[in-house]
Amino acid sequence: MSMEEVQSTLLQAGEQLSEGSVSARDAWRAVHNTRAIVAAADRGLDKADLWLVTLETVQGHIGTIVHTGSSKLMAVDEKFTAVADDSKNPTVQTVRQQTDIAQGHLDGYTQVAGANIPETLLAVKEDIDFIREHLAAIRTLGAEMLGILSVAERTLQVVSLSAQNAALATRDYLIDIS
Amino acid sequence: MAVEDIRTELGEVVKEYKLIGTILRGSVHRLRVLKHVSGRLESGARSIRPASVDRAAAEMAQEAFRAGEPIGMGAFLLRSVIDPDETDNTNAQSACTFATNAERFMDGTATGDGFKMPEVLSTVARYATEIHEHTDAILGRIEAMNGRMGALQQALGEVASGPVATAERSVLAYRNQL
Repeated sequence: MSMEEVQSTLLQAGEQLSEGSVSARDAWRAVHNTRAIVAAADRGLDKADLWLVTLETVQGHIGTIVHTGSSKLMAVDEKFTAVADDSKNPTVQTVRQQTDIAQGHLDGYTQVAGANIPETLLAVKEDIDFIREHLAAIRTLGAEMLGILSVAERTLQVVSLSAQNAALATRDYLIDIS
Repeated sequence: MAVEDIRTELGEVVKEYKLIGTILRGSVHRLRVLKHVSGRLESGARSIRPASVDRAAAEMAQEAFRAGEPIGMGAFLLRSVIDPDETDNTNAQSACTFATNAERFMDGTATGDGFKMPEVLSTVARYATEIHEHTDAILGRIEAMNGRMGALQQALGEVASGPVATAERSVLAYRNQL
């Protein structure tokens, strides 16, 4: 290989290494941005967890309401029967029947509007648990991702610096042999 | 029991039915609140939804690939004209050492904190995909939960306005009959 060819090759090598150094720096920035996005998603998770707690609380309240409604219906039925013992009276029959129907709906023995109230309420609780599990999985993945991204950040810094130093040393060598 | 006493008792029973109706309608209102909270959760989940993380991970991988290409080429060109074991020139030796270091980090021969760069990139991409899948699962479940809450809302509303209201009216009618 002639001296000119060696010089030309070294010049190209220096340019490539210099370009690589800049690109590694860009990659470092991209990694840095990714970390910021993942960290922001983590803050979103905190908010989502709070909303879930609210959902669970209100779901619990509705469960209590349904249970209370059923108990009260039973109590009021007893109270009514105590004073309206004329079971042949059609109005009395209507009250008893409607109370039974309402209680059947609230206890889940019969469906209303195509829904079984206690089962649907339980399904909502399962929805909340499902969402919580998946949010937890996202949180774990996000934390691991942040760790790996910080490794990538550190490595790319080293790469950028090494490529830059290689480019500088190549140029110095070119001067040495010129 | 005197008729007036029975009428008083039945008046109390009417109040009880009215209260049960109010309680059940209260749960319908709570479900409306719950759906609002679920809407907030959904928008929270969408903000976690890492479309942006996906994009950032892809950009990061592209940038790293861009950095790896010229660094590899630069190191290759250097080695084609310099044998670091044979040369006495320290600049030539440094150029080869730095270029090889950078190259080894980028192709995964050398590791940063035990992680190889290509593995880091594919792991980040995999995590981004997994997070995406979890978010999709959450959004799908929120939609199903909203449907269930709508059904509950309708069911509880119908119990309040149907059998409970009918029972209340019938007790009042019976009281008036006395």
